[in-house]
Amino acid sequence: MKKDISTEYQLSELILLVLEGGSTPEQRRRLTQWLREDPEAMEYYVEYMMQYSALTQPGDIAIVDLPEETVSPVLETSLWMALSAFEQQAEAVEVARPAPVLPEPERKAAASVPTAVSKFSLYALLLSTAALVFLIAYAFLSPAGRGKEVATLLETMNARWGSPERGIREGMWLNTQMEPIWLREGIAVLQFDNGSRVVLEGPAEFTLLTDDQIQLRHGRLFASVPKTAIGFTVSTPFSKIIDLGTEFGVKTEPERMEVHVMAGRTMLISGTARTSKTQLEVREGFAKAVSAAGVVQDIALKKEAFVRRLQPQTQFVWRGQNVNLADIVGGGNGFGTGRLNAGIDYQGTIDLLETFTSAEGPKQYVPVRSSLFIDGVFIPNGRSQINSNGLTFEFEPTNGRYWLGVLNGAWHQIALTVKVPRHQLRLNGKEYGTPDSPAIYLSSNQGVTFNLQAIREYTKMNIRRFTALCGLSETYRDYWEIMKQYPHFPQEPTASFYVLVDGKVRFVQQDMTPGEPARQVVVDIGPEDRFLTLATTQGRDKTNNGDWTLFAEPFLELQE
Amino acid sequence: MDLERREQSRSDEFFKLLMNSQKVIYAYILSMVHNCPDADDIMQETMTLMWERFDEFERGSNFGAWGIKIARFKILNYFKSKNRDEELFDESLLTQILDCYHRKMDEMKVRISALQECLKKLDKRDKKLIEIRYEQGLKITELAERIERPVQGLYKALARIHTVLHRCVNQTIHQWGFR
Repeated sequence: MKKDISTEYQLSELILLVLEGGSTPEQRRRLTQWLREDPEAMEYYVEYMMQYSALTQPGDIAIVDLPEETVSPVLETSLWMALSAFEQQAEAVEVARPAPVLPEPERKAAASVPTAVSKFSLYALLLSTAALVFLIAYAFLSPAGRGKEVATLLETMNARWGSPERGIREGMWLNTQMEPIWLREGIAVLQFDNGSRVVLEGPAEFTLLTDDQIQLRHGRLFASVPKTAIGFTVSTPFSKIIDLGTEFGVKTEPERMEVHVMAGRTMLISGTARTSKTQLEVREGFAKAVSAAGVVQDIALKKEAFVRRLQPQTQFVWRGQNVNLADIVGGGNGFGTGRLNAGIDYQGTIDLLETFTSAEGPKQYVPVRSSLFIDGVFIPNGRSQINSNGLTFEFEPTNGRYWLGVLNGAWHQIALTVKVPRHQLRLNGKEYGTPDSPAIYLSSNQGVTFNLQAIREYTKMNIRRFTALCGLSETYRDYWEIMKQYPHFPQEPTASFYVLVDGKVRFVQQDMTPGEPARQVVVDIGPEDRFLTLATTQGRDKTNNGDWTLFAEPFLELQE
Repeated sequence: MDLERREQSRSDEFFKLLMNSQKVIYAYILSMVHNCPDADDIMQETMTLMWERFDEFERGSNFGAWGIKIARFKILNYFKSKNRDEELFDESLLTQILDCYHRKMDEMKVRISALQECLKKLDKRDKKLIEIRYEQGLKITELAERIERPVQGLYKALARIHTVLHRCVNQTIHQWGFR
């Protein structure tokens, strides 16, 4: 079970639905499956039942407020409850608490709280001047007067609020008609009761207008709206975005707003009450900007401009990016923290790789302990171990040699008597191994295994698929006139590419050459898949010389 | 007279043990049957059977575990008498739950104490909601009607409060050195 508050909340809601008789057969099946498959969910379930039972069974737990809290707040709320019920029922209204078994001090305190409000006492209360004054004040100050509670502040990360005295904190309800809320910095996630989820990124100022409408005065938000909540609306000072079942981001500045639709479609209404309004549909993959004068223009979609998910425990923020496996090879988290031109050697360490030599590789699997996300590296040669669980795979026999190591980057250089200048490797006419065009240079014969489960745990997201381009660098041909001075380097080297998931071949391209176009790799990843292995072997020419083999743009696509 | 005194002492012993384990046995029953009225009935039957068989209880062993064993028997009878389609869990899952209870049983008392502390820390309005729901025993649908909030919203609110309480309880018992 993902130990984040959002997952706990989902399980909590599911258990509660089952316990309170409000669950559907599908929800009951989901709970059963969850408990069966996940020991942590089972533990949570049992702890939850202990908590729930303690609350439902009289005895040890006293929920009645302690003495210092019994005077105004409880009376106020009791009165509110009584009045609310009185309006609906002609007969006496009971707000009694069954007498709990309390230790002596608490029992005394509880006794001071009215246990029931009869019709008579309610009339008496209403007739008293004090009560009338209270009721007038209540209309302005009470929770009911402040509006309707429509959303929960589900999660925050490094959040600093504009008005600390308002005590805004995780888990609290937010209601309509509250004063605008100013998130000075950090990130906050709101869960609306209708199922919509909104991620706000500070600085941002917002107000909840209704149970399906939020006003964003300035700042950024990202809304995920389930089908059941179609019609969810984000208002800005000079536009409205009405959801038609989607995910979209909104950015509001004093003179301009932008809407970026990542999935589904929205209706954009531009203009204010004082200007003419226009209405147009914005579909998935498109973005629009609206000026303060209400003028709409097309703009480029910025897929990664909005925070969509966060993990406060690991300080991980997801803006829609893919996991960059090259970054992981460089010691990073897959989101840009790795070092370019660093890589893994066969000591299992990650460091800058600078020396191009061919060496005989180890015969055994080499675990990489310095990265959470890399299980290990190996030299494919016949039956070879491909993960730390001891799983093996039958590659064709190779010479057991490799060049350089597993590199986050794609450059080659020969600095001997005959020199090939340092240059970026190229596939399909494009240079790789740069920050914008990442690649793993996996000069054969080498293999690297990524730990998919560790990536899931870190991101708290599912992995949809692995994509990459693979091929031998076209630059080998550029430098053939130099390369041919070396003995043992073929004019048209060959190499094979493998993508394995848990030891099963999911992609293979054998005996590629520098003259061929690079191949697209698309491998779907299921929730149970544990290890992803990329490997290159020398191919039919029986040598790893000249195998400038790379996986370009090696990405894992995430899904919520 | 001696017989009467012995019976009194036996009954005192039983109730003392029962008071310490009642909550965990009830939690176990509720985990299986998922509604309080049925859980109450099964608890009643379980306690009766426990009293009848109290002589079989091995003194010094875990009374709660013994109670849960008897409750399991009653729960299986309950499932037999019900339409099988109403069963949420199958045999293997029932066993998994039982195993988990055996591991966690000793935490129950300290969890209750921590829960009492955590309830104090709740937001005033959350506390009120918990009070109305659990102490006054209003069903969620009744509660929704009473405070004019959608039922769905109340489920979400109560789920949130339970989540917060659960986190707080775990943190508290950890601070107390129990985990």
